[in-house]
Amino acid sequence: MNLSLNTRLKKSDKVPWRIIEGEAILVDVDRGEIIHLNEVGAESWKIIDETRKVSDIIIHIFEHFDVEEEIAEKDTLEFLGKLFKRGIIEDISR
Amino acid sequence: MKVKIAGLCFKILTDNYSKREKGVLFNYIDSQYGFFISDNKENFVIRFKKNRHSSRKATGFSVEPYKNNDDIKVIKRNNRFFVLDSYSSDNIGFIDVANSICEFNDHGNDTLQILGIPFFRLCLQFFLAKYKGFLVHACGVIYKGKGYLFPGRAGSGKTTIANMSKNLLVFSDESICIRYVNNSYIMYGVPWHNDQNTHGKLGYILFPVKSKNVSFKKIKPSTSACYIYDNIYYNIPDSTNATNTLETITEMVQTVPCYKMKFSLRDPLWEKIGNMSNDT
Repeated sequence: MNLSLNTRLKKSDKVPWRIIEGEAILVDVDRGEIIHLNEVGAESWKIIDETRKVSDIIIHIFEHFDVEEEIAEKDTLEFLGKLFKRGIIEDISR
Repeated sequence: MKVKIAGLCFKILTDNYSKREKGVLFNYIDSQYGFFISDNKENFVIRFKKNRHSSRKATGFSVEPYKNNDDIKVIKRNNRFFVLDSYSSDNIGFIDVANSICEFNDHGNDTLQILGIPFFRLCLQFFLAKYKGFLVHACGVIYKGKGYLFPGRAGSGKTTIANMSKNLLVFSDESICIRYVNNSYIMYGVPWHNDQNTHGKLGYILFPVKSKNVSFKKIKPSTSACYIYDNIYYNIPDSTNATNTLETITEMVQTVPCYKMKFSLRDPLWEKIGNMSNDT
């Protein structure tokens, strides 16, 4: 299943995370792996809060970083899609 | 009998052992953990339980076919973590952090020799996370009163660095405990690699890379945290444990300077490290 612009997301409860100097570190406990998000990824991660949709996150990134809207949408969808496939974020649209 | 590692003391209970069996067990513990025997108040208990109806047979292996904790599996049931032998799926015991108790199932024959070290190490890891600490693949050296930690996997240069530090206090070339105690990060030796039962304040974290010359490059705390987390021992499949460990590591890398260190056998390593330390 792919993410759509209307998908509402939440962070998995099983993923501990910390922000250090604007960057995020996530622990994928099930896989025993650590994931490092740069400033843009960390900003997206921080605002995943069960109320925002994918489209809200794209707008947030477009507003906070020097990037064209089209690129913000493409990159954010790709980024969130990777987290979603790993089970790090969950679809709570329904 | 009590054993103290990284400032954490665990008491060994042997309720259903005969006097002779207890003597054999304590002799074994003494041979493995002699420098770590302690009289301190215990932080947790490891209860040895003799399983008298086990059909487990001697494998013929002698000691330590296990290279690391990846050879054991951990399964959470209710509030207990059950430890299984990856190969046979034998129940080795459980760890109950909330009640500060662990239980080791002694099936006889070679159980303790083969599984004792991975089990003890795993117990320590669970309680380290609770007491702001972790166990990491690293070489640890004291130089001019400061602790230097060199984290890295096999082949990264830990043993080479230990060999280049002959006149210094080398804790280990393989594994080090770190704990946050009294506003400082402290390095501790552990008993499993002929390591020193000693400790020292951590001053620098240097990630070694074998090279043709020596250089130091400061790295971001976020990158350092990832490198260190990636080098901790067996990744315990539990969010609470991971949260505690991540918190200790992220706070540490924001306090302790971290560098990528290229080094070569030809250069005077500690002279260069001393110069780097003086410049920062």
